[in-house]
Amino acid sequence: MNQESKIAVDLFMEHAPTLYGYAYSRVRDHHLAEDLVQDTMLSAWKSWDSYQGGSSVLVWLTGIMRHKLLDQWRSNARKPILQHQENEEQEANPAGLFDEQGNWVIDPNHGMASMLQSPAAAAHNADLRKFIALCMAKLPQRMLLLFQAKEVDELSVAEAAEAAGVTPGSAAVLLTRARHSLRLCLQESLMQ
Amino acid sequence: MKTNLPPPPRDYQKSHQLIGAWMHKHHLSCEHYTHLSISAMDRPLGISEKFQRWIHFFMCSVCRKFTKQIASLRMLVKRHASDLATTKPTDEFLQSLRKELASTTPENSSPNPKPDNSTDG
Repeated sequence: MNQESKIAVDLFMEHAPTLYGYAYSRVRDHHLAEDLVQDTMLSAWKSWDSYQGGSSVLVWLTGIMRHKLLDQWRSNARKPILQHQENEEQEANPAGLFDEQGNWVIDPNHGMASMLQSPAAAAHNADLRKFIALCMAKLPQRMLLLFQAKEVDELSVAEAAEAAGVTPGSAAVLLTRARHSLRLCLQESLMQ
Repeated sequence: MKTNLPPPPRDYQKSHQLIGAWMHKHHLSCEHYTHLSISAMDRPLGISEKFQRWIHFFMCSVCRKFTKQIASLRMLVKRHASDLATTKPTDEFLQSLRKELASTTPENSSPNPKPDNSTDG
């Protein structure tokens, strides 16, 4: 192996830990995360020519990984167990929160003192951090993929929709449901 | 939906029994307000939506708190993701990945293409 290839490999490998962290934060499984990183790095490696410069190498690699994530999700979705989860998306709307006039039938703030101080305080709260992990794991996979693309990667709704393989219209609905579901799940967790 | 959450405070119930129908008619209900507040995180609201949202915001303390919650939720989700993203891969994995890259030739060129394609003149 010549010196230049070695430098190129080093350049790629510099990003491997960051990519792995990204992958793990999405799939929460070490084996799946390893597969994703390997898959991403190899296909990026083979197609250096398509790298235009402009964005950083890490941004480019992350973009490739987002596509791989969607591919991985799609191949999982063919398995019947996850197909079932997909159907539950339809029922995740906030039915039962409001009466027919649109008034609250539950107290959305009961037990939520830790969410009401400030966003920074909430983000430091150990209980909330434990519960948000559990609550996010309960979201249907496609909704989670979309929600993370929007909220964590800070993509636009249109870009996030593409990353999750849904139309922008249903993305808006799914994002609303995701927030309602997570908030409600946190409240129920805090009350136990 | 099964939930064991208590009903809203008494003063909320009283006031909203009085004005609920009126608010509902003018798209100023709590349900509409929460929908707008959440939508505002994904898209800019129209002028009438903004107006509806602000009217309700001043009228309803329960919904004012709800707004704080979804702002906290956003931060919490980000914090959770960045916590997870610090997870490190194993050395074995990195080593085997490095080997694999080294044994695979990039299709056309390396990042710094060798200039020796050109014939020496």
